[in-house]
Amino acid sequence: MSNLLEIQNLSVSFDTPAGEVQAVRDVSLSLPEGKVLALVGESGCGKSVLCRSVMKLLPRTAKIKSGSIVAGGVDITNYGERDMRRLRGSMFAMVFQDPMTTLNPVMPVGDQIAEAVRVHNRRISRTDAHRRAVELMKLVGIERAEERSRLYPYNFSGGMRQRSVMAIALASNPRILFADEPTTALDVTIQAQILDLFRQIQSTLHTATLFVTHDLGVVARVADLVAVMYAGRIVELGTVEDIFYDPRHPYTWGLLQALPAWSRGRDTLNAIPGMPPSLIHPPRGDAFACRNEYALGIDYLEQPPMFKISQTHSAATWLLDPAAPKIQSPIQGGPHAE
Amino acid sequence: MPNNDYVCVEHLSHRFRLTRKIAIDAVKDVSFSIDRGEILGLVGESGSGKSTVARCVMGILRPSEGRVMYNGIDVNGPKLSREDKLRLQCERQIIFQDSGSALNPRMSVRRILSEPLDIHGLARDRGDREKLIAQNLDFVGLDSGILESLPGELSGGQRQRVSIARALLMKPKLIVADEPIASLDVSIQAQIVNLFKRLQAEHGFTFLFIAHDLAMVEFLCDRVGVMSKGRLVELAPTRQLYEAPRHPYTKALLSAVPIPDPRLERSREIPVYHEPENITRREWIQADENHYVLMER
Repeated sequence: MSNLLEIQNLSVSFDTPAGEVQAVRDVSLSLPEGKVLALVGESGCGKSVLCRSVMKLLPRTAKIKSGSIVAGGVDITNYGERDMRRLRGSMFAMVFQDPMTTLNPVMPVGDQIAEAVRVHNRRISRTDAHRRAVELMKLVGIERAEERSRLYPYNFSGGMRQRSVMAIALASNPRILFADEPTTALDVTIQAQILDLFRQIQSTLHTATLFVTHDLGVVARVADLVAVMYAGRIVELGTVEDIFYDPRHPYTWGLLQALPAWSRGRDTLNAIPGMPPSLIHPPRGDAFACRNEYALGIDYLEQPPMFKISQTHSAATWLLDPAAPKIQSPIQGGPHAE
Repeated sequence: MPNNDYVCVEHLSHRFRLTRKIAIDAVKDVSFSIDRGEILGLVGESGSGKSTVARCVMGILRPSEGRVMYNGIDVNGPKLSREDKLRLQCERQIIFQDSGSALNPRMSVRRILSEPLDIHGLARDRGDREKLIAQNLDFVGLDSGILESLPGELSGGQRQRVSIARALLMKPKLIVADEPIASLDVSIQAQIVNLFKRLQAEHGFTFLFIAHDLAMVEFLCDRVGVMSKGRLVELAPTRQLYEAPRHPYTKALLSAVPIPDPRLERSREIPVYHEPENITRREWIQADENHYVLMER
């Protein structure tokens, strides 16, 4: 079994006073061992909800409407809180966006990591747990770990805090790591170091990572596989090379072109006009149609299926239908192709 | 200094006292000026002091040393006349990073936009007021259909547009924007940057734009200043700064911007900037025409 995580036709909805919010709609995804899969999309497209529904960390108002989640070969779709507690840590761990709110501000960092070690291994002694904590701090690249284990989060810089959060996440040897925008709160120079750390951890420990972000620049550095999400659905799925060198969905084109690197030397930036639709009453047909300059008539009527482009690459756009007019992709080989 | 400088920051320092013994020097000896109608970008990592500079320029914080001149008026001067105070209030406007907390969550967009007019007693006639508000919403690309909405019902990009409309209502001559795009998605960031560029061209206000990464600034600003650890380390016209950065910190910051090309991006090392120890002398030197660098030895 090479896929650690298999999500099949998952739909998640929230009950709100205004109506039912269809946050995740019919998503299928598989995460192989030892790979980083980036989930890309604008805020509100359902990428965080997707992560949290696998971890079962959603509020009570959320319901899994249909579909299945299989982790490590076991179907966990109907697992209750007690079963999930066993899996969290040993199977999944999560790294959140803001390291300052994740860490306990009045507890030394080393103790917080040791606590995570002890929670998952009750028989370990205090000194062994502390030794393991220092080991983990070294693993995530904190220098002078022994001394620093006695310091508090406020003594640490943003980058070191995020490294400590990673150490806590790795304390229980999880097989799948969820990272929800882990570098958004960090500075650009620190961001690159943390991304490299993710890659290094994934190659040494063979964990599979689901990496949530809205920045395609980050994806280029960290991911093996990319899933682009829009309005609760996956619109394009492929390897990082498929997505950057041969993108097929107009939304992916828009996201790529919105990066400043694509407009260098021009007067205005390319922006995607408009904004994402409401998920309370998602529009009929392709949800992206009204922002899409390449939209066809059928886009307003019928949801496009996933068209397979190659073994690894697929996209949900009617432009790939044999009957569709041929449209030249505005993205050719990357911003530095010339 | 010629009188053309609209905003002139002279040897500005700001110190936050935490306890009787501990104080943090957030800004150390920063000087720069902004010409009338110019867009100046101020870039640096979090904690580099750029927001403190913005707040001193707006008069929210009082500098520990140095002063901020706005069109010949000392912003924190002890004896400001009533007219000068009023001018400072109306002509300078700030836009904050988090539009969620900058807008009162219990006020409708209509009330948010009416409040500054009430305070200054402008557009008292109801028809004029409606027209003015509609006109400003139009400037920022919003439809007057959102007037009765509460901020919580709007998306991040829409809320930031409301903040911009609120600032524009006073017909400001100086706008200070403190990381206005940092909490937005990349695709929406591009929309807002384009909007700023258009508005500045149409209205001609002087603009201090603060950001933490260099990529978006390149499109918007005429000149860019780079801050690190409370000091301004480099100040140059945008083109020059991107093509020939002088200070090692600027170089590190520039190369940290990710390139959306996986093969290229993965093959490159990103240098880490360490501040040299034992700096005995700091000198603000002119490296080229309009290009200034802080030399540290």
